[in-house]
Amino acid sequence: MVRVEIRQSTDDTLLATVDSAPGGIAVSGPWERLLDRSPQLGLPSGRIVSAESDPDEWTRGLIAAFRSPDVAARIVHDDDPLPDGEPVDLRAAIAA
Amino acid sequence: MAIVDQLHALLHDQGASGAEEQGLVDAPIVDVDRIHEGEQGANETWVITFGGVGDQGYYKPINGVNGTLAALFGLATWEVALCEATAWRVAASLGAPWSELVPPCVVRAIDEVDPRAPGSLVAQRFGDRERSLEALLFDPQSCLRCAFFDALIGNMDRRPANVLYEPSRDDLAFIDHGFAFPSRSGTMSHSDLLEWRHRLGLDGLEDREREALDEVIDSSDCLGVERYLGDERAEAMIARAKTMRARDRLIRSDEVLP
Repeated sequence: MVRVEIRQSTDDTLLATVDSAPGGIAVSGPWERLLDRSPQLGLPSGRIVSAESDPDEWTRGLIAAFRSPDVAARIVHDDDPLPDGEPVDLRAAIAA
Repeated sequence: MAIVDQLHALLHDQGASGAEEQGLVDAPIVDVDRIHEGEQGANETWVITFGGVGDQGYYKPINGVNGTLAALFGLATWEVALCEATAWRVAASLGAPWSELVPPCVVRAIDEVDPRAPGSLVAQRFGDRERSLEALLFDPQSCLRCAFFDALIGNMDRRPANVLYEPSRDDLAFIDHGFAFPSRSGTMSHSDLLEWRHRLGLDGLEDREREALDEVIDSSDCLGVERYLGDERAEAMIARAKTMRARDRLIRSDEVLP
């Protein structure tokens, strides 16, 4: 299961919570009826997926779809999480 | 270690494509200012002001890249910066019109932002993203050329927000190429402009595009960018070029390469 929160970037107001589940998604919050549920880029496969055909991929794809100065999405739970990326220290490489 | 070798190769070649690129490499910095601080989900971005003429650039430090988002696109955080700069090097190698539509970008260390690691630094063009869709009406030729560029580099993230259009200056720029250069098994490309060109039925190659593909295919090292991208991503770019040249049309975003 993947849970994504879509928030207004300026004041962190929660606009929608999207939960993937077998066979589809569940949306709650003020944007419940406004969220576009069209097929979109599914991640990490990169294929266009519908919310019904691959709910986890579709839900993760929201963080690519919503990342503007106005509205942004983030994954708050993922049963199969991807690495978050540890900070790297490249000072030696740059200096060499 | 791939990251060190790829970074050194890129740093070695930077500055060779003109004064603007050289300025990004070594112009003195007089101010750094973080923008959109606290924005969820996006990569950390800074406005860099250079001395002298007061030019500015946008800087994305490697350690400010959203790691989860990068991973979803099949990239490590440091690869995002390399892809951003590599896209410029491809455009510069191909020449006009692409070198005029993609702003110069380099990888540079800026200690005031992060003393641990460098980031990508792109020349500022203009700030208006609000009217990007107008570019399709007022400069469709450049949008068609950009669709080709997206198909070649496997751009995974061409959205209206990554198109800058300034009608008063009749100026257009295509930015944000950090999520690009997928390997064959990686995330497929996703470009609104490429989809738009396909929908118009204009997916056939034009002469300048055939020439560009021949340059990529005939190059022994993928226009020199193989050393920054690594073998897998460079091979995938050459495969995209060969596929398009053989079919004499642009590949689709969801097309599986042979």
